[in-house]
Amino acid sequence: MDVSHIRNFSIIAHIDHGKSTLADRLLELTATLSPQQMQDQVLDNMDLERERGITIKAHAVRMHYRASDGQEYVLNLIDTPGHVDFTYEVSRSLAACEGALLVVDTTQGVEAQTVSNLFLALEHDLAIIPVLNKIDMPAAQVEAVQRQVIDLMGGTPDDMLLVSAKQGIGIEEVLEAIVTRIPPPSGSPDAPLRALIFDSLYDHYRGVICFVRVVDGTLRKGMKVRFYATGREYEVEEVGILRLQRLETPSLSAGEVGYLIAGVRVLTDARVGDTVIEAQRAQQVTPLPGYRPLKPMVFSGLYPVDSEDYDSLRHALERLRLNDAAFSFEPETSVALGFGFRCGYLGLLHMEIVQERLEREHNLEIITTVPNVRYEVVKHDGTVVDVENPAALPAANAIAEIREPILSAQVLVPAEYIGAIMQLFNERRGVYLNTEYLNASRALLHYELPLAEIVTDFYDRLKSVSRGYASFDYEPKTMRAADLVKLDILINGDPTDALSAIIHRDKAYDWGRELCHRLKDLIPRQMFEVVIQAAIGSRIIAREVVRAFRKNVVAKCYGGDITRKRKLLSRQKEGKKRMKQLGKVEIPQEAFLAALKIET
Amino acid sequence: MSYPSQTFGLYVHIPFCPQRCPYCAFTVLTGHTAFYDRYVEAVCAEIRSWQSLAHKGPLQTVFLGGGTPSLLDPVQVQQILDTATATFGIAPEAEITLEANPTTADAQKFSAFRASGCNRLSLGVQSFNDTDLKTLGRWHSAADAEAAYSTARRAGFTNVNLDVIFSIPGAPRQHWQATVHKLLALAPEHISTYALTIEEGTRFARRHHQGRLAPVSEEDDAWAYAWVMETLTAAGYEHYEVSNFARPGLRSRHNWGYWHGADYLGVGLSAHSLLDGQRHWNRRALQAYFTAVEAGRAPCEGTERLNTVAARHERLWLQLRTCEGTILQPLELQTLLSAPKFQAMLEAGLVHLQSLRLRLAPSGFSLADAIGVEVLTILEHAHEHG
Repeated sequence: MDVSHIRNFSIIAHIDHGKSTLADRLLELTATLSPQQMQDQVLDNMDLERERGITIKAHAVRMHYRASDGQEYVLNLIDTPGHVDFTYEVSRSLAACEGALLVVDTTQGVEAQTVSNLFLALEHDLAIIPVLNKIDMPAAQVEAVQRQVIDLMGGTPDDMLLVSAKQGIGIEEVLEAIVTRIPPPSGSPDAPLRALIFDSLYDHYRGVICFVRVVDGTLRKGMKVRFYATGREYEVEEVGILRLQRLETPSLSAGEVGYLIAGVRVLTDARVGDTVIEAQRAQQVTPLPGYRPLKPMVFSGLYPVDSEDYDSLRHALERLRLNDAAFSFEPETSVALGFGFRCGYLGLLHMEIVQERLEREHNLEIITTVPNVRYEVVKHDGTVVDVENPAALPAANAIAEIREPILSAQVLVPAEYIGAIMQLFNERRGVYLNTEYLNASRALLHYELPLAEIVTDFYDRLKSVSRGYASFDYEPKTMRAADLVKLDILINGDPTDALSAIIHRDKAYDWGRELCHRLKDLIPRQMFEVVIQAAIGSRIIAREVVRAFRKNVVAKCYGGDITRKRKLLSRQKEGKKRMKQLGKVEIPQEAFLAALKIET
Repeated sequence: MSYPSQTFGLYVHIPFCPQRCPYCAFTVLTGHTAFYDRYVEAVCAEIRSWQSLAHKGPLQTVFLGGGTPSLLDPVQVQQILDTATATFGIAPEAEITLEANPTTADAQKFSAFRASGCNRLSLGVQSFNDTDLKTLGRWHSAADAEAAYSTARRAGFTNVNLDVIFSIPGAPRQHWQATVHKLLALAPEHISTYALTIEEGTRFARRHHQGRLAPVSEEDDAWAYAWVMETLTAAGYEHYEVSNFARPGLRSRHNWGYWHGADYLGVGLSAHSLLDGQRHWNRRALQAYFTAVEAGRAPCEGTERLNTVAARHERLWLQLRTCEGTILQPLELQTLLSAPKFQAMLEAGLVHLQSLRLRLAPSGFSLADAIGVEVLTILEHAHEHG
């Protein structure tokens, strides 16, 4: 394949700015799929993705385009996930490209993710083509957005393409710009093999399928390859290109994008960002830069409501992990909830997706505990332990220091909301760094922020204080010591480990009071009284009581009442089955997430 | 005296009422006097259509409920009973109950009802306090109620039930105490005490939603119930079901059948039947009922048959509402004993266990529904998971 006729590119955008619609138009215009095959946003093929209007997993597709110079080009679109939880995957997708379309919605303007994705693309030295979308909308502010983009990355209005992906306006110009403004790949087909794994998925019939960009050399069927990070070696069973389906080819050479099947059994062995090299020439190559193992950032307990479902839950988690290398789980036991799992996620969205899939695809009633971050606990004896579950925090007198993950966070906001944002970040223990004005009316605020502060009710608050105008982005920065304490919740005198939280000392009192109050509202009245207490160590800081029923009986139950009454009892029974039995009282699933909605 | 559970009973629904009480959510029709004859004809036709059940006869119980059955002419009641006798037979010792309203108490009429074969009269007196009766929208006074009771006695009814209501909005505790003391003075054979509930679709519900009617507190409601249980029991009444009290040997045998899985045929508007494990219920609209019956079709609106487990569980919570409770199977008992929640109920004295018999304690009657749900949840869970 002639490298000069290949273009590899991504589309980067803030959520809802029209990335998927633009991708659909490109596929349509290059006849990669017929109108009959056309399904809205074909690249997002999980229901959940479509419902949420975001792309969770990256995919790639090859298009053929005859440009105005009369030549035919191969355009590889490498799609990127659209959420901050998956920033690392975005970065790996971008590393597989020479250029990117930066899509900006002209009715919304530049957003935080536009900025952070742009910076990611610039870090990879990509050619950037700004695409201003939704120009057909009455609310489009083309000139204002042009100025924002110029403020951000320089250039002139002429560099920007004006498009309505929905109406199909300006799509041809986008394709031409990809050919003329994005450089062809460099790299030699004869050099030792180096291929970047930018995504992988698990197929029940074929095992792991790796999506790769060949940077140097040629990948052939039958070749012996080694995955650099894992050191494991495989024989290549099949390579090919990606149309809407996989299409087998004899080889993939430098500059090309395609897939690799090599008998890899588990997804974690085909790590995104790893370099595939030729086993025999391993000594001659250095791996591609930027690889880091994916590490879960947010953790929560997952327990079956009905302890009999433990095995089904484990089975479901195993199935999920086959398709999601970033998701981790291990068994844990809770005094309150029994046997369950501690699960690790890239972020909150990732967590929600996992939980929704468990309930929908596996039809399981689960209890989720409040998410928390991973703490590093330094003990007096000098040892350091990782704590992913508040209940597992060592005794207070053994702890010298607790460190928590700190983010580098950016929030892009119209100037009039700066005050409100600062107040919110202040409440959230943010450390202000600086403000950049992108123009007179939009500011980018930089903060250091404990990750723990965004796992509970942060996004809703951000939205409400900025009336939805703030956009937020972050990346992990460091671990830092803080004055953290463990807050316990006691139900009828028994500590309920699943409700424990690690929290900053200054907030513990309000938090405990508010949590007790919420639990009181969430726990229905029942046959026995429920006493809810919050404690730090042995000190009780809050108390609420859910009174027992005094009377719960229907007076009349004769021949004509029995059927109706039985149905009523049935509904109550179903309600109880969704609750967790703690001693002689029942706690609804939502109670274990009560802390999520606490504002302190 | 024992109360057999394998009886065959007939329920006849008479939907007519002089007026609708503001708390009532039953299928009742006011006015409609022109339809009485036609309705009685239809009910009789419906009874005859069940000729196939003759082998279950003779009937051990008949219950004419409503509505206000005493609005009918005694001749019409006679006609219904004659039809029942001709179709199924009525046992000589059968319990035949007629529900009556104090305003329809007329010495001649009551005597005629007695003569037609009715041997048990159930009077809806509701309260012996005129203010409360007004709140309830009743059209009779306490004096009328007392007079109706005497009339029933004089007409030869030796088995009389009085229905009373507690937790009437706005009524102080003393009203309820006075009503119960009045009951004790009258000494009927049977007393039914019902907590007022505000049912959707009633005038009470509307007034409640508009903030013009405050239901009594759960505290007061619980007190009134506990107090009446204690008082009537101390006076020698047997508290034999959540809402029912009787002199020894004088429980309502018809109602007893409902709670113990007896066969019963219900005829008339919206009446329910349970026959050989199959339940069905009749249409609720008068016209639809007439149309079906007069065309020789069953006026049935719906049916259900429970599987063995569901039927067992239904029986269990129904029996649990009675003083005799339920006899558990050994496996059921084992399952319950291994559940912490059941142990907590035992420790709290809400239920009693005597060998395999599970009964509600007096304090458990106040929580009968919650306890029933609990027991069934435990048993169902064990059943689902083998």
